[in-house]
Amino acid sequence: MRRFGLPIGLVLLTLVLVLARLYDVQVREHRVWASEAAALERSETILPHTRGAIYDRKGRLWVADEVRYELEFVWRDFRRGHPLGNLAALRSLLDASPVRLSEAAHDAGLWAEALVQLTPQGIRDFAQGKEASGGRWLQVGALPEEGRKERARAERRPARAAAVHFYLQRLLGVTGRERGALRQQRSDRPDAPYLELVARVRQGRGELLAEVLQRTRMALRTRIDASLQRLEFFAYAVDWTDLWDPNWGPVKPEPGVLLLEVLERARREAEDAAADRLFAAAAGFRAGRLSAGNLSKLDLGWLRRCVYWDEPRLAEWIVSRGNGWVEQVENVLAGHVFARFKLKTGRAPADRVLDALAHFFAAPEVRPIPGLPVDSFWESFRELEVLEQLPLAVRGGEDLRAADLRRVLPLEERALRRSGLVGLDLVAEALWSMQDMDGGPSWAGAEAVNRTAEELIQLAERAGAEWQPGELEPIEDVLLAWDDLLQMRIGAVLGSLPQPVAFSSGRLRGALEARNHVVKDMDARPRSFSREPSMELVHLVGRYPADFAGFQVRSVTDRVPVALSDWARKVRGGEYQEPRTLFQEGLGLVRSPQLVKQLEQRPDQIELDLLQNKLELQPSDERRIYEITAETFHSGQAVGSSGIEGYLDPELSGLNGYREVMGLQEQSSSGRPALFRPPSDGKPVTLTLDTSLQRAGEWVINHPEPAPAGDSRPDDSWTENPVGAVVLMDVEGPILCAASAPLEPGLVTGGADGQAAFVLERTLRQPGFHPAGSIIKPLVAAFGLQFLGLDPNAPRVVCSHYTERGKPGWGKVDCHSSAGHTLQAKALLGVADMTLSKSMAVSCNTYFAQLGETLFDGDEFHDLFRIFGLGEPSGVRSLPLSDRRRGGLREEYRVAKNEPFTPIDRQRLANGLVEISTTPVAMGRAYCGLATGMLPEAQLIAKIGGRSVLREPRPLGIDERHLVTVREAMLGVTDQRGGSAHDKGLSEADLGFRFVCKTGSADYVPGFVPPYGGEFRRGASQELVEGMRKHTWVAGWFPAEAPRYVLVVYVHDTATTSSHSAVFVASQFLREPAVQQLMAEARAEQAQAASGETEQGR
Amino acid sequence: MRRRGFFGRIFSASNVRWSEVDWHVLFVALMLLGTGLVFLWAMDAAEGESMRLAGGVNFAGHRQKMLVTLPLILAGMFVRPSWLRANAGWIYAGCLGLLVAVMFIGDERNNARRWIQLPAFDLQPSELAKVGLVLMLARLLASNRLEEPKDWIAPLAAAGVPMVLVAGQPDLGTAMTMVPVTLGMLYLAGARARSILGLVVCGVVLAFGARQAGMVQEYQWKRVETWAATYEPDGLLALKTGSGYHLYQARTAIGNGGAWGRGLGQGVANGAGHLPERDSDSVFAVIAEEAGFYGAAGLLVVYSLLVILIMLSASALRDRFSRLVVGGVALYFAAHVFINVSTNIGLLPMTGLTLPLISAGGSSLLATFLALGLALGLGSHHDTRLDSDAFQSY
Repeated sequence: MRRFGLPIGLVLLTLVLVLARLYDVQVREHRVWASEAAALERSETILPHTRGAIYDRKGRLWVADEVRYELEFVWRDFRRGHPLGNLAALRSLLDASPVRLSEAAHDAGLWAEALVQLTPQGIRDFAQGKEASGGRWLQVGALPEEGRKERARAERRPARAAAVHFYLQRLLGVTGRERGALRQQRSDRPDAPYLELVARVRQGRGELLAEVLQRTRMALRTRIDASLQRLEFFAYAVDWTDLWDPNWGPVKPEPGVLLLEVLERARREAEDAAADRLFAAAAGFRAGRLSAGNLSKLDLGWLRRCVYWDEPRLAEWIVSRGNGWVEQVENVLAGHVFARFKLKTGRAPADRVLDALAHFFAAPEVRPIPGLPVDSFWESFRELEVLEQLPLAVRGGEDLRAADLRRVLPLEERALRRSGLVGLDLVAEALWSMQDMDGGPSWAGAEAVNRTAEELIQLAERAGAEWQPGELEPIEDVLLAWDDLLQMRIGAVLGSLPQPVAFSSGRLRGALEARNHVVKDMDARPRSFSREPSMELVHLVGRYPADFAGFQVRSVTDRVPVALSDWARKVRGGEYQEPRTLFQEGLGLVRSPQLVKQLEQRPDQIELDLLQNKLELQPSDERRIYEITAETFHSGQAVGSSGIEGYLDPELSGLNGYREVMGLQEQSSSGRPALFRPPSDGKPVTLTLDTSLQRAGEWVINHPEPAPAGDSRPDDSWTENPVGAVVLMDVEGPILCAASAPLEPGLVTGGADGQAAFVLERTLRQPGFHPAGSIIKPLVAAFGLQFLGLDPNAPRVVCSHYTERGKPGWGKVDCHSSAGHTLQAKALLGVADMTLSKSMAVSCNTYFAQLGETLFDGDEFHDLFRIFGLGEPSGVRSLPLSDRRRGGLREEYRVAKNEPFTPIDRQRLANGLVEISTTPVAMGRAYCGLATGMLPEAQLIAKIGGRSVLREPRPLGIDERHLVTVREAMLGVTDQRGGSAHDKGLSEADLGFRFVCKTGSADYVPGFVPPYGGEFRRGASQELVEGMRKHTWVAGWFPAEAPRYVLVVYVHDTATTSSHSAVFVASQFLREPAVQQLMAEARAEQAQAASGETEQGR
Repeated sequence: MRRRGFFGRIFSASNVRWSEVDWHVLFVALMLLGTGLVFLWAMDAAEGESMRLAGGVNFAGHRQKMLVTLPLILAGMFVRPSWLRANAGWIYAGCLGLLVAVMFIGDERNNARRWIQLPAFDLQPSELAKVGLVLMLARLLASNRLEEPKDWIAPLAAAGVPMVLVAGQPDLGTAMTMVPVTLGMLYLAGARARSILGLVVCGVVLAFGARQAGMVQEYQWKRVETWAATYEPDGLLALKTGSGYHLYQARTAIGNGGAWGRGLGQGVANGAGHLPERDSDSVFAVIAEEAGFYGAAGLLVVYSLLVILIMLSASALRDRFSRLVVGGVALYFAAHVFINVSTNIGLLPMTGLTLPLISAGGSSLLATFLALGLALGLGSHHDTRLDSDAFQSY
């Protein structure tokens, strides 16, 4: 035992030590590690909710989430699984340069023949730096004899040789079972070509080698030919409309060529991404942080060899990465900086500006996590990402002087930190101090600096998380200028080192160790190939994955509008109308969550990570996990951004579910139960709109018929480029049709204000001043009758004199008849005869001007507006919903000035010419009140989640007898000769039912119109003169005897009056089959109700 | 007298004293071998198809390698001690030759050149070099009691050469296992404990100096830094997705086992499949997780028993060369086991080293079986005679 006692003792002592530590880890720390283990074997998934669908009033689907397929391309799978990928990879490995797929496809057969002639010995020679040959088509040169082995190792030839074996086997379709036998053949016959080795493996008993060899060769040829043909077929099945980028070349090539180009680009992306990662591993920062000039100073031969590039390809990468900062600033970073302006709102705007700018120059590990409270960042900002890393990253970096590595950005100036400046002064000083630095920006003159600082502060102070084009320019300017400063300093630092600057061996080793993993990772990332592949493509890829190696299908959810405009009708010129989403602007759009919102969720995500890793969860923890995951944005999530999608986003959005999968749950004695909560889908929303009526409305307002041939003052330029709206409402408030024109932006028009260039929802909005014109007259009359003692039958002399413009009129208001209705009557008959009904029929401006001035006092028009709901929200956004702040659906209303109106104001107000600017929906609502005596709230939403949200109308506060007087007076508009809509296609004979309405025209903006009193002449050129362009209206209800529906037509920016424009649109709409059907249904209901009453009477 | 052939000069079954073979050692070793087979089978069975395609545990492959290498136990047992003593230098030189050869013909994987491709498995010469070193040191120390300083030069040089070659592959972990084997054999040969301690102190000072002089690779030093930073759970959790990834996965699996373990094939190391090298270098983590503290402790006790039994067997040998070889084999097992386990539980920096008799890996099995065979064979040659020519009779 001599001499063995101590070793045995040491063994026992070590055993005790190890057991003690084991006890520590397994028993004392068990809870910690069990919790970690549970997290490792548990996979957490946020189960996305489905956004609520939108239906029309009859339950017809308008918008819904729809799962679609997307085609993706994975370069690694293609490289390994497709013969063309095998060939390109083999040549790239042997040549150490990226061989294009198109080259491989061109000579595929010859290359394959040559490659399979390689022998194991030849490949071994290649690995050692000697030449390799596969006949005429394949010659790989030897490396120089001196230091050949080292050079071969540096060129990664041994690794490349191993990969060559792999791809040759793939190319020849060697199965797993054949692989072992092939290995034996390789060692037995190192000088035999690969093709022969495989043939020997496949040789059956009694078969001649020559036969098997021939068979194997044929199989290879067939395999390659078939794979190329399949690719060609695949290419023809692809819709290249959106995939082809004209920048790729002047002529769009054949689909097969195009396919190879797209795949080649995917491959280059993968290679670039791998090179980026390897560079970052060696340098400690991204390649994009260096300019192309500075990147060129580095020795990047190792990178080229890692990804098998040649020098030109490396140079391309350097240029693309060198311009990366500039591109990123313009495409991404400026937006990110802006988003960071909106975080940490407790900080002063100037500090937020500097924090956000500093963020993108700081080393990642010192950057604060967005959303977490950080008192100061720029004040303590010390570490510039690149300069911090250079001493570690490059050879000789440790000798760099500290002075070379400091004071690059103004933020680092001690004087600025201690200046005590705040607000604008602080930001201006930060920018101004660049002047004193080498390479300070040329734009930084005093004035430009102050302006930029001011703009930055304004951006930080402004509410709202989105920006307009061009608004981020000041941010871009500063980021680029600071980067210039940084690049100059980096350039000087790199210039002081031996050229080319080599990476430090430690860092390089780390990057090389990661090489295989990085290349595999980047090559294996799917890249989108086609967002909307045909079902044929989906079938091919899904059903025959081996034949289409590299392609894969995944499902994604889209928000899809289902209800489309009337595509079956021909527009002028005989073309069919391109189908469009119904009520497009009103429904609105969905978009990805805003960047600011995503950044704001980071603290929640950190909290979620912590909770998920807990071994045991309290009920409050579980609740919190569900809370966070319910509203966490997931990839591809859509949020409503405008229209109803935006307004009802809280209701349409559901809550995400959450599922944990515990791999070994059943057997686990430790850990916690897996959590599960299903997603709660968004609520369906039912609109009040009717598909057929909406379709009809959109058709009519976008394709108005020209005025009849006999019309004296048609405005054909408006009918060719219409701007306007049609609203059809149920008298109780639900809107059945809300159609706007135009639906296409950017059309040139003869209009004065260019509104034809904008696609807007015009039934609820009023771009510019939208006076109601004469359609306000029935409201004035009803108010006068109820409250001001207006005698409807008392004749009035209202044209008291000739106005300044030489026309008969009252006060400042002209009679629209050139002779003046009452002056004519008085001259002819000696009596004044303008009663309410007569004035209403001919829309006598002076009658109502007199009413306004003499009956109304300074405040009574305010009461009129209030009673008829003008100057207030119409109700479309007044749903009884949660208090959450809502965007989306926009409605505009203008409140009249809050002071007594002057007599002249009142003359004009009674004619709807000043003060009161309104929308078609608001006027429709007022007419509902006039037609029924009850003022409803305009409504677009009938049900949310199956529950009705319709609201009851409120009494108008005007006696029915007065309303009847007005309604009867309005009958003359269409029925009386001289009525403003008489013989305009709105009679009962034209429509099949009686339509009660009022026309209205109001001056809008100065523009070109026909000469005053002149007439348009179709087909003849006509001198237009400067005059007032108009809005024209028709508002009324039907059927006259029992009002059910209110129609408002609005014509924007026309040269003519309502009687020559809006009336025809109204007539066209009311003659539409959908409206006729509506009336038929109304009549049927009425008849049913009547028979029911009769039954009851009996 | 009949002339012996080539193999006859090296091997002889008739010379093994079957009655004196330490069957306890063989029994314990087979027990460990069986344990390894069971756990590797469970690993393979627990793997999903996707993990298998990604290159997971291959039980069938392990079984095949074991069948190929198992005869080496017999080869070790039947080798003639006299031949072994006479040719220890050549064996050692052969091992060094392989270590040099691997630099040129070896397969490069993960930026290390450690393997030579063979039909049945890939040979890792550094594993054989450890056995070669034991034989060489035994040969040198058989007649060297280390009384003079110059007596230390040859054994230290003999140990230094393979250590440098292996460290240059680079495989610092394997190189470091040669240190305790060398120091232990020096002690068994007669070196004073104080001298050994002094050598250790010198080694530490040299290592520190090398670090200061920048001779230690950054990644190697980083492993040491990572180890120091990750001893406590918080430190390891902070680095779990970075440099502490492997440590974290191993420690999580071990800690998750608790006192009683999670059951065969039921560990997170198998279930999640994140633990690197779980069938070789980290196999102890899998066993500790599935067998728990008591199971893992039992395994360590069995390993210690194996080591002690081999040492006891060695201590009973009269022949100095045999005693040193068998003692060296015990040290080889002890170093492998305790370094492997210590790296997994955080007592030592992470390094790649197999657990003898249990881990998968052809080279490891080959070297382990050969060493075990030598321990059994040489250990059976107990001789009651006190003269130094006792071996002459074999």
